[in-house]
Amino acid sequence: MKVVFVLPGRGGGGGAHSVVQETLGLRRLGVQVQIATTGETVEAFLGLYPDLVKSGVGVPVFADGEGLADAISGQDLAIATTAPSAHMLADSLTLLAARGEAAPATAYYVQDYEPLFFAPGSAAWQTARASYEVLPGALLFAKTDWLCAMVTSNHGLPVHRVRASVDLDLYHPDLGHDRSGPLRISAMIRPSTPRRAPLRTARILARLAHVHGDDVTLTSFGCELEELDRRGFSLSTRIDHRGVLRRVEVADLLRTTDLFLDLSDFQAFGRTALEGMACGCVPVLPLFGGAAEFARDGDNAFRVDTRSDEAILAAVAAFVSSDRQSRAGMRRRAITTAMSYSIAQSVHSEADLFARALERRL
Amino acid sequence: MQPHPDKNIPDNPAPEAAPYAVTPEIPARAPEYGGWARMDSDAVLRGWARDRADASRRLDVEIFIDDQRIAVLRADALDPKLVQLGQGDGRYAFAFLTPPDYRDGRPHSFHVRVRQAPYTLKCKQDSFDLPPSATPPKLEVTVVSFGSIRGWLHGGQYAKSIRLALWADGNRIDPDLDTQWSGSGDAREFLFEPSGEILDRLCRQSLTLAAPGMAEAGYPVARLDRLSLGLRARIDADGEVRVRFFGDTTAINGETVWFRLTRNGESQAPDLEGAPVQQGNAQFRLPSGLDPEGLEVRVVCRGTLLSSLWAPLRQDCRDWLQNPGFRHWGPDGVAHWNTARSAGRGFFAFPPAQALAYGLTGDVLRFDLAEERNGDLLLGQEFQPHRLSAGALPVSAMVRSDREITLALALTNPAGRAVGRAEIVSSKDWRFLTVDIPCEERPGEPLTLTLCASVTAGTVEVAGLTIGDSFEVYATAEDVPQQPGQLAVNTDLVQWPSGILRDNLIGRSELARGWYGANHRSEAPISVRALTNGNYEGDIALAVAVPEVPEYFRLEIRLHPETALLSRGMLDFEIGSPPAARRLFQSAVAGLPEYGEIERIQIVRRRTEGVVHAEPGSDELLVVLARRLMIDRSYHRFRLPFSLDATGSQAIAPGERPDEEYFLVFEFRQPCAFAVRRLRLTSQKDARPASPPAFLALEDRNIEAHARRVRGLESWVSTTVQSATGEASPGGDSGPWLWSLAPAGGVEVLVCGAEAPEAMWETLAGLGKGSAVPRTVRLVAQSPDRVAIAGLEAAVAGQPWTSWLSPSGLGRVEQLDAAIRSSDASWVVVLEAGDQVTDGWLEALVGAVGADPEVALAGPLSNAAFLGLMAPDRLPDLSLTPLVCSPGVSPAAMALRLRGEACGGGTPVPVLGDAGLMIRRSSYLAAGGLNPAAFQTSTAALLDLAIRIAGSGQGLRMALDSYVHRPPAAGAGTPADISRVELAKLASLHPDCDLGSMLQKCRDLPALARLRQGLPAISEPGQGRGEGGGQP
Repeated sequence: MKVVFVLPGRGGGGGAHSVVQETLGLRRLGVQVQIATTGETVEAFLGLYPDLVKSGVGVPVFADGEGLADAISGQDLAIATTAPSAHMLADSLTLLAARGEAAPATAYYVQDYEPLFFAPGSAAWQTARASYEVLPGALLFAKTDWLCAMVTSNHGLPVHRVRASVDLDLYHPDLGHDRSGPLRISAMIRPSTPRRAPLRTARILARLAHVHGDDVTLTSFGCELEELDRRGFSLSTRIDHRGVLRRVEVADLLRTTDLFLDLSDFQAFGRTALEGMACGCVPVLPLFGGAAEFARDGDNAFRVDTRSDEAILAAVAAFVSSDRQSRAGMRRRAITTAMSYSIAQSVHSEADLFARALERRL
Repeated sequence: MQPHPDKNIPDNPAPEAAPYAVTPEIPARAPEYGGWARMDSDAVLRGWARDRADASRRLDVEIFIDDQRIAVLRADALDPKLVQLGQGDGRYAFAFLTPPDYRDGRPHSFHVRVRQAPYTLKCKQDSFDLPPSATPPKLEVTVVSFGSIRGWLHGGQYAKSIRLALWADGNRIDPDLDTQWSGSGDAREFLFEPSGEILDRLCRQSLTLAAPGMAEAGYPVARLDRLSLGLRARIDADGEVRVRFFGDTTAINGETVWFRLTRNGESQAPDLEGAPVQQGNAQFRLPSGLDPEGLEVRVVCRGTLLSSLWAPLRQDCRDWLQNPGFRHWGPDGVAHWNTARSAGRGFFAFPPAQALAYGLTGDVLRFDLAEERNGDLLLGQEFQPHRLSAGALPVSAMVRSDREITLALALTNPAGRAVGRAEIVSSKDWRFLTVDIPCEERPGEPLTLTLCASVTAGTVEVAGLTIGDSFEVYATAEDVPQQPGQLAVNTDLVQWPSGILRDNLIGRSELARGWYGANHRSEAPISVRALTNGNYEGDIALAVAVPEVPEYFRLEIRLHPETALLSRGMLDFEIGSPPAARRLFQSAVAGLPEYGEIERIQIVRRRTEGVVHAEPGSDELLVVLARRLMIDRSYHRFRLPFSLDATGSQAIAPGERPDEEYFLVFEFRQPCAFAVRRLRLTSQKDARPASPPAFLALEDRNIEAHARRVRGLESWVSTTVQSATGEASPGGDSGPWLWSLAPAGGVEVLVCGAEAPEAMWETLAGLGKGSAVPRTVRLVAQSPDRVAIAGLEAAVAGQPWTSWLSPSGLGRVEQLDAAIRSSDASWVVVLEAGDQVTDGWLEALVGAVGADPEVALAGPLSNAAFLGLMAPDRLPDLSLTPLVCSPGVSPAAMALRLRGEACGGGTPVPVLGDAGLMIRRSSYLAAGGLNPAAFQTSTAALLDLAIRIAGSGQGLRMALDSYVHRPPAAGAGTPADISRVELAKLASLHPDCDLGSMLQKCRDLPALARLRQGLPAISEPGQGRGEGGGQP
């Protein structure tokens, strides 16, 4: 089975991480897998994911539709990973048809409901919305029921479920970490992404500093301090802002964190929270979206209506005020849950899905 | 991108709907359009447009980005280069700042079109690509005065020199302010000299200031607050006219203004130049020979008469007791006064109009009368009245007392002989009292005035006292209008008593009239005072400092007993911890935390029978409006909706003495220093805010917008907090209501027919949970069965949003007509008893009408099916039976099936039936309503209405994702009820309208055809998604 993922961009986001780590997993299963990316970003991309080439994953580079057509020519399955990549893939299929070459089967790894990223009616929104229908007959798959439901109910298309994955080699707990002292709470603040609710996150951190005082320590990351200043964010002096962290640094922080706050408006999946669970911290997650996939409220996580400061504060207060054993219990259950999201399981579900789709095509 | 919500950009441009007042212009010859546009690197789209056939004509241009029209601008700014190029007077330029939504690093197409003609401006670019990181522009105004308006423009846009524009009421009033700039880059300072016209406006209203295209693109603009200036003028014996400005005098100090003397509005002399205004004062000499009687003094600045600044010219007046200012407080008390006893200093927050009218600052003198003292309160200095009118001297006083007290005003000459005496009667409310004191003395003789009380116990407060006629007699304090529907009438805190600077209130104390502070289990004193912004513009706040809170501190505000506290309401207020409030902490300032927190805000009921001040523990909690609201040094506005159950509602008739009181309670659990202002509690009818409560909102506006148009996100805009356990029922929002979904003016659902109470119950039960759109419900009785009606009346009595209309002696259609006419909602929806609504039915209807003012009627999808069920022998069979419930399929399941197939929004249709018909009332009234004379059934009458409205060119929409099931036996409105006679009547009334053809068109609508085809293929909800859909 020869598979190529179409992944333009520099990488670094949750979606790119998923594709890369699952590509590596597929490679281990013996799938001939490639990631096609754009020439202008390939250097940064490979810099971020050096294991790809070492592991035998091909990284064909394309500059335009012709280039992508070349990259997917001869493959069994070409998989779009974002809305723009779906359109690129559609264009390249047209070019292949014009050349008289056989086109591969197509698929679309739906990693978010991307129209939500843009103003309704805008050109970008139109592009994102059309992406689900631009590849007729494509195999659509996603890693949460919520994503499947969103696409199905809004576009009338079936979407198949695959298993999500976490890089458990990188995100793992440190069971020897001393958890005495104040509870450690961390959160990501990325002002450039409104749906991640940076204002809300900063506000809640300030309130936690006020409400819980020295009972908690607060850490944030996700952007440079200058960006916060530029955008008018005024973080409480109680908050230790670490700037932009690399993945390994995020993992290190999460390993020493008791409670991770993801106060986004919604999360299609909630990768960082699941990675945090793998590291042994309990996440507070938005109720809206697909985090129910792995997060059970009050059991291994908190799922709250993030529109309500009160609901968020109540969840944090519940955790802070609970006894040490209860917190440890939640932490253990969080780790157990995350451990079930291995790359092996994930890629097996994907490979199985791909194989069945290709069999039907034959 | 959608057009900016703040912009009124009509879909069908009409001159009167333009953002500027556009007068239809008739060019002398055929227009010859020309112009260019370009997107500059500083994110500003610049260009010009003109009609060469008419150099004086100004054109409007429409900005299109990604083929969406996003703004309309008047191209009338001056570009000197255009003059150099020979383009008329050069006033054809425009500039538009690219909205942030299009600065995303992606390419966007654009073009600019002349609005008055299908002419697209030339442009060498067809798209732009702007980085998202640019700092948005921000205008900051630092100085507003008659001499100059200064400020800063932040942000890197507008690399070129620009001129700022002023806006008033959404209209641009001056596109070409001659602005001077200094500095460069991200912060540039600007300065311009306001013209007389601008100053005239600024004295009358607030304005906004914007850089070109900023306002049109939706960027925040700078606000220039109205200059609150008043004027008094008097002529002294020496012929010198002394003018005193009050209010924002810093804006006019140093300016030379001119004065115009008018009588009955007619100018009496050439304008007179006054000396520069100093500390609010100016003067000029009255021209000789001009009789001062009846003259008015008006102010002229830069050649423009400032219409709001004028005053009658007064004579012979002397402000003796000066409260304009009460600036005479010295270390030992009131300067230039002799007080017969110690006078306390107090404060009263007079409403702005009153403060301006009397020149009151709020400072008051307070006298506590005791039995052992004599009654003299004030001994005035000697003064010399210049004129006695008919042998009397007018004296005025602004006074009040804790009960009715007679106050005497006595005049004595230097020999101590009484030469005049009069009395005034003070009461509990502030009153401006005037009295003419007969006086035996001649003008010019020195006199002394004594104010004395005729009783020996009580409290008297004096806010002003004047001799002569320098004050106008205005309305008394009782006439201050109070807005109806306000529960907490202290919106501007006008009811406060004086002495609002108190430091040692202990326990439960009345801080202001009807406002109480209660520090539970504490003997620590609390401090309270009034905060104003200095010019009495309504921002009067109550500041409270509580340094020690062992258990809890409560600020309790008694609700007005004679207003109805109905089931739903909205609390608006601003609260913060400003420095003035924190200073009340005095030495404890350093210990005050940076942030404060309101533990909760609630409404409680307290029985008053035999209880003077019940302990808070006896309160009955009715509703908690909010918990744990954080406050900091800035004022923050909160809008908190609430709902009460029936037992919590208060409805006390005027004059009735309630035996229980209602309090709004702010509770604090830590030491606090806060100030609250602009408190307003409204109920039911007024409680229709335009947006969801701020404290429960998505942060990303894009997602908020999606939540109303993308399936699966309905609960994301719920106004109640969702929980992880309740998320399985997205349509089951049992919260108060979804504010933002309500169309302007509200919706009322009319349920007709009480012939079958059981059917009515079923409809009401469905209405209770089928929609989150706020609506009222009215039952329209048509049954003579008094027992059934009595049962329903009893049931709806406890339903605050449900009312009852039972006009007697009317036929079915007349009753419905009366119900629609008497509704006070903008939209009514007509249901029959027995109709079963389904989840989201009303949301979909509201969505179908959208904001399109041309849509007059909307119906659910089932309305089409209903039409289709009309007897096939009389009308065409529309083959829509797949769209109605089959046996064994519930309406809810049917609705789900349809919703899975149908798209949202409204599909234009040629006709609508009566099942679940939503009617715009204004269109209904314009169409003349129903025709009871012609039709006996509401089905036929509403069909007739639909045909008439469609014929008038207004829109009919079908909400394909709304489903209202009408069982065959429901009410009297079944299709079969349209008799041949009524069909014939319809045909005769609408000879040009072929109903059969209209229904045929309805059937052939692509959307309906697609539904009919797609419906059978849809599997039942809950079945698999297909291969590979299982859990891994």
